[in-house]
Amino acid sequence: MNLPAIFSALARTALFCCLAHPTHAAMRISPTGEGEVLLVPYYSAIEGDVTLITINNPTDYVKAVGISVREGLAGREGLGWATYIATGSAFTFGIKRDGSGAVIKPTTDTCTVPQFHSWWISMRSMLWDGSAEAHYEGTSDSFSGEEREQAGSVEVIEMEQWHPSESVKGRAAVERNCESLVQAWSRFEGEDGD
Amino acid sequence: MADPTDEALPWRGGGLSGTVVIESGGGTVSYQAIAIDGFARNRTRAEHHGYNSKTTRTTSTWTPGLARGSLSFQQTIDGTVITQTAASGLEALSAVLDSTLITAQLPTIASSSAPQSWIVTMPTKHLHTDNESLLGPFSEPWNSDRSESCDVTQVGENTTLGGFKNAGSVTLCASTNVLITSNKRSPAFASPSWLTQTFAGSLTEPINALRMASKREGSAARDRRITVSTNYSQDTDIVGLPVIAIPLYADRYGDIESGSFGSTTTRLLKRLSVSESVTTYGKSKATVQLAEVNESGVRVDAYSISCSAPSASDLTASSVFQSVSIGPLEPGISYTCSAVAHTAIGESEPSANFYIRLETVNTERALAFFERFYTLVLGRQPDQIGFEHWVGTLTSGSTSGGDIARAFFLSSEYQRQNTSDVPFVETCYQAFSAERRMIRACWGGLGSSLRVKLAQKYCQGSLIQTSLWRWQGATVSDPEASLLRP
Repeated sequence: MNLPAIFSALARTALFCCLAHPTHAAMRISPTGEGEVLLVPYYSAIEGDVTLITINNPTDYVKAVGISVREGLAGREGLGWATYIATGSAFTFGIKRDGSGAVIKPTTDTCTVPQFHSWWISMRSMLWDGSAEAHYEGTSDSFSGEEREQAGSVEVIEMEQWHPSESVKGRAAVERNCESLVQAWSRFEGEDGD
Repeated sequence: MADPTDEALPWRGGGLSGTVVIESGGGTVSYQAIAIDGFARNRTRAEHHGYNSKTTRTTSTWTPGLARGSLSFQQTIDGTVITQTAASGLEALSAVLDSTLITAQLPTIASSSAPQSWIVTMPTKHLHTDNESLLGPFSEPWNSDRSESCDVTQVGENTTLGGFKNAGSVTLCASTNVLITSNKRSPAFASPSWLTQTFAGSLTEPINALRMASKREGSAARDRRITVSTNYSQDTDIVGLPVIAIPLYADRYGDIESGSFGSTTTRLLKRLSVSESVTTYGKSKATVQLAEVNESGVRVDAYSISCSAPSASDLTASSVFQSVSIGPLEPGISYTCSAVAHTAIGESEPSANFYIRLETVNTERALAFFERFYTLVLGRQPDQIGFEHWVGTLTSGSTSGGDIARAFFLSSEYQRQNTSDVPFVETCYQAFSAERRMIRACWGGLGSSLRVKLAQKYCQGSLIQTSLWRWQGATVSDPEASLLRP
């Protein structure tokens, strides 16, 4: 048995495995509380409850994050938007009850797409109340009222990042040039976003 | 808006953190968001297919989603980190939450006997249902199942990694599931009926079921997912429950205003007991026997001891057993030590302090001891080999003084002298003159009532008499080397 050859092969295999499958790339729960995705398992707008959710960006990059607020029964999206958080900054938004549903508004001066314009925006129940066609079978749920908006979960997913001064979107986020970020999402002719 | 530099940066994502504050009724509850790392870092860009991108990683103007694209993920199962690949980001996320948060939170809940309220929610519950048949865990079938009999069984085996159909699972009847949102003391969370379930049973059963299933699966089948599931009458598909509990109140700590996720130290898991002091003779290691004061039901993976002394280096030792050896000890120093138990959900509270001290054998006195025995018992000078052997065993602590005494008096060399009782007692007394208690060894080893009487005659000291009576017929087992302390 050619042991040196076997060891050599094993060494090559190990090296290949290490290079081809870097363990740091695998998804995992971050032990530090910092990550690319944030899950907020529970918010409450029940009765007088107000939930304030703050997303911190302590990095040296401008971050774009997608935020999805999901109702509590089946986790369907009630409101979603993109937020551009400047370097070393934070984005906070609140969720509170409004009538039988819930409304959302940012409390920090942070660019979002679509823009909130300092208004409380109602969550949408169309994905489960049967008012709009969707590939979800929301009406099969046992309960389809907008009360489902009053408690649920939130997903925050990092979308992209830029240098704060060496990129157009990075500067736009830092300078609160929110209109240009909205235009970047535009699908209208002549204003195609990227 | 097109800007090539926008896309030029290599992906170095991450670093986001989140805090949640729920204001209610004049009070607040706060906790940290669950951070997932490694989610998008290794994702490759894919073609943009309109609203629904085919990848999890998105550009800045693509709607992100958790469901798209296969993804490798890390789980820690039975203390081993394994990396696998799931068909979608959602399934990977589900697997991670299952393996991490269930094991982290369920024993935590079970470990506390104090009345408490928990909000349990499932942020990815929408991930755990078929797109064609979304079922909420708080939907009516859940309620209807609560009246069913409670059987804990294991059904099936996982056939699709990360999949939910036909997943290997532990099926729990709904009446023992872990969805608890009683919050009787918290008007803040007087949730609507579809979100509130009052738990009335014990959590021991689902916890044990999980453990049993884990043991059955073993390391040879770590790719099988253990999923807590409940019976849904509408759909026979397994619906996994990545349960995440927010400990809002626990009587042991009073009203906890801020819960936390994944915390490993929020609950008293076990408390360890040890004797107040441990003294070792001659050996540089001390063995400490630990015991659990409270049975929390949490499996202990390991025990560890840490010791410190002002004039010595700190010492640590661990063991999977309750008997833990620690060393090397420096002689003549009292170490202050404490022990903790390590579990899958964190460390127990430290034990009360206990003390370890290494007492050394005085070599000079050991030499004198043996010379006296050779001279008085065997009537000769020690031979080099035998002498070194006995000194070595005594100073190393592997042999006690009692053992040595018995060996000398029961040796064939001494037996050949055919000593009568009176000279025997005299010899014995002289041999142990410096260590009077050692005379017990003589009598214990020989056990003759006649010799007891003789000893009473020749040994006048009341202390010695008492010892003789007490030890007649006894075996010699005392670690008499302690008498050779300086």
